[in-house]
Amino acid sequence: MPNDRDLRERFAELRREDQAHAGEFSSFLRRARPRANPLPLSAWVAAAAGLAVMIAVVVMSIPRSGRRNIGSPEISITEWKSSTDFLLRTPGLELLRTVPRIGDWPAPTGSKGGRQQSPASGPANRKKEHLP
Amino acid sequence: MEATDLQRELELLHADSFGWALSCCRRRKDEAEEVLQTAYIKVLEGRAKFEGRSSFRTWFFGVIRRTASERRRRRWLRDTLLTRWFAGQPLRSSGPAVPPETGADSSLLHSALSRLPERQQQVLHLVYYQDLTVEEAAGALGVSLGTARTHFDRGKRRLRQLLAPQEVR
Repeated sequence: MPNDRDLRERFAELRREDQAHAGEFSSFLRRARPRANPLPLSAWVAAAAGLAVMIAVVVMSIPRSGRRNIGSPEISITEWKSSTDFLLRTPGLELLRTVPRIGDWPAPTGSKGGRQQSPASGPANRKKEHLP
Repeated sequence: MEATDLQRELELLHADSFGWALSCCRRRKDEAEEVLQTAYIKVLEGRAKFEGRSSFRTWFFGVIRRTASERRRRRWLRDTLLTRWFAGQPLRSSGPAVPPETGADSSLLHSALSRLPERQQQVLHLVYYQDLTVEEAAGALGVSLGTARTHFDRGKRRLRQLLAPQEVR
């Protein structure tokens, strides 16, 4: 089994071989020479900001109807009406919604020959008539 | 550090840097040259700055190692995407890992090294090939001293085992 010195010798041999293929530093440097005028960081920042503004403008110009509107329904909940809402409108609904006042009976409709009650002949007035 | 000083330091280190780049690129010469060139550009353009926290050599070896791993990551991403998009088409290979004309001893060492994990290969390279201490190797690899020592001991043991039977034959 090779000892530490053997290993070092083997690596030294490898190193000598590699160095023969390393090439000239100057040739690497020629290829690696920094660009004459690299774009400064501020130019990149400005370009990124411009791009962001353009994207924002494009997004804003898309019509609202074209966007998905999940979070905010267009019809308010107070204005919304069910499609079966008409079923709740029963005949005579007005009678149920209002408190009748004595003497203000609505005139009966559609009863031929029915006794027409004048406001004066209402029960309240009749009571008055019997008063001494 | 001035640009001329940087250039002089890089020139002094050039041969060793090339050897280290080869090790980081699994002995692929073309890839190693590209990595070394990119590392030079980084240093000369000031994208990698030496702040004197370690020796220039250790620091620059760290730059080379990071450049090689960035390149490998980019290549892996590109190859993965290409595989997905153009499934079935052969991918470009980065060339053979065989080094140019090596002696018998060196090729034995290559084949033994190639069977070790990457970290073990690197730490052995830095200690035996570049004559760095394990501590300096830890700095170049960006790992703790304990980790570097563990890699070094395991790598050395395994390398000896791998080289031993070949010598018996």
